[in-house]
Amino acid sequence: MSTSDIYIGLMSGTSLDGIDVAAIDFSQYLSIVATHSETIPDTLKKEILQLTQPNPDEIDLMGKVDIELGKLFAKAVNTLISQTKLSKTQIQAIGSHGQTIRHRPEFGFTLQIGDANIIAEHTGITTVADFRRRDMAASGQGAPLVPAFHKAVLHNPAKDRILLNIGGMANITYLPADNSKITVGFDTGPGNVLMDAWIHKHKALSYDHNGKWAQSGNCDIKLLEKLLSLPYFHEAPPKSTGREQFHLDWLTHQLEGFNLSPEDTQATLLELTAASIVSAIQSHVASESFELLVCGGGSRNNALMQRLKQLLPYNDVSTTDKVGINADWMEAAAFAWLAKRCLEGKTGNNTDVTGADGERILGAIYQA
Amino acid sequence: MRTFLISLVFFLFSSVASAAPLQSPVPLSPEHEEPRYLALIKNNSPSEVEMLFHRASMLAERVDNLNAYEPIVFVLHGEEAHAFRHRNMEQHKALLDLAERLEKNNVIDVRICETWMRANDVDRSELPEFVDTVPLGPLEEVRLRKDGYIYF
Ligand SMILES: Nc1ncnc2c1ncn2[C@@H]1O[C@H](COP(=O)(O)OP(=O)(O)OP(=O)(O)O)[C@@H](O)[C@H]1O
Ligand SMILES: [Mg+2]
Repeated sequence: MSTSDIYIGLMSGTSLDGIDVAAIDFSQYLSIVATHSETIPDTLKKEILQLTQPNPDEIDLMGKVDIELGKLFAKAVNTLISQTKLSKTQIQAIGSHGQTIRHRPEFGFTLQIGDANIIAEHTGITTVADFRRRDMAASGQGAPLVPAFHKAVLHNPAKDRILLNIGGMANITYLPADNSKITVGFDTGPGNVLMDAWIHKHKALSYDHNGKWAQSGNCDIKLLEKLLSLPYFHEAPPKSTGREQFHLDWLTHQLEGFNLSPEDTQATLLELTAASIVSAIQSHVASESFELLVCGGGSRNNALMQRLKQLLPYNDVSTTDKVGINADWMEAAAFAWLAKRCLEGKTGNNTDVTGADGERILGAIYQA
Repeated sequence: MRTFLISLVFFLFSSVASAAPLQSPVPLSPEHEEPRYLALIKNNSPSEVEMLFHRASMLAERVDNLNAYEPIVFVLHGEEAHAFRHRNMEQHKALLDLAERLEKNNVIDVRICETWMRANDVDRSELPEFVDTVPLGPLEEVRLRKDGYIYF
């Protein structure tokens, strides 16, 4: 019999598709005890999007959104708990990633908001937040942080593995079977963000379910080549990216001089996500016999998964569901794990991937 | 224009050190001493490809043992690929005959992009047997470059 060791991970990614909350029990390996997804009201979504691009008066707006998000995060946690038999005393802490509104590793700056004081106050649970900036203070990219978690829970001594998270952006973690080899992890570029923005513009939908709309069009190879020529795709890791780089205005600018139907553009954007991922793997992963495990919302996009399989015909490509971690909750689970590391006084960054000067305990603690 | 390829070439051969602090776009593996070549197609026209075939042929003439020779790879994913369709064969007979002969002699290796084929409604059966297909042309070029292929 073991006592429970439960942490709550709270994640709100770049897609703004919702706030993911998951209670994770680490007493035996890792089990997902309960999950909840909290809708972000449209007005708040708009304000967050506004904050991702430079605007006048943004500090006041940031203050407002910081508070509203803090409250919404707390509500999400309270809803999760009320839906289960868990009591708050069983929960060691909440790990809250926060909402990224700016990520500028080139200036050593990244900002996630959603006031953790409010989360602790409204839930009565100790909250850990602000995970990225300590890594940056140690000259790291502050991202990606999930590879350390991937390594802790998914390293397989018998097989090279690549974890691929397709959220707003896409990031990979390469875990060589041989533990003495370095972990490779970085953002490969856009995940769903451009496809989401494009279908929203043309059909007022939040995403292209199973890539059906993309499949009704054809990839334009010339546009694809142009998009793939972006310097970001050719930089060596460590590197990370966000909405600052990949957004609708950027895309609109890239489309100048092309006369494509909206669905052909969507097909090209799906291909861009798949091709930039595979190209990143081929360029920076020193293994050919790896297994690819996909998580994040993009892993539910059948057309995208099918394309990844076609572009990697000699590798096993599947979702992390296969290894017992539901692909929808991997990111939330990672922040539950990071909160646990912080409270236990253990380091949370993998310096191979963030490029930081050393391993650091990540996060600030807001006591219950 | 093939800005992607051009920029790759620019990064490789540029001596302008003040350019953006980019690393070599694709790490080159130094394992193969013999250079291996990939055709750089700029105009996407059949005549350009035919000219490159002739150059490949001339290069191969200087090689003693063609069996130990790595053929020059042509990844086709633009207008030029239409020349290989059966329906256009008459018009491009010289090009196709040359391609077939060079393929047979292990001088070139033509690979047509399946994504381009889908977008242009080209069925595999419309293409000669001596050409190969790859899932995505631009990605194939990145892979070859990574394996140490250089543009010729
Ligand atoms: N069935 C599906 N078909 C197509 N796309 C899907 C499907 N299910 C989810 N998605 C995509 O996944 C996105 C949400 O993914 P996810 O929650 O992993 O991203 P995120 O919140 O941005 O996280 P992060 O960027 O931190 O990884 C949606 O916006 C949508 O584009
Ligand atoms: Mg999400």
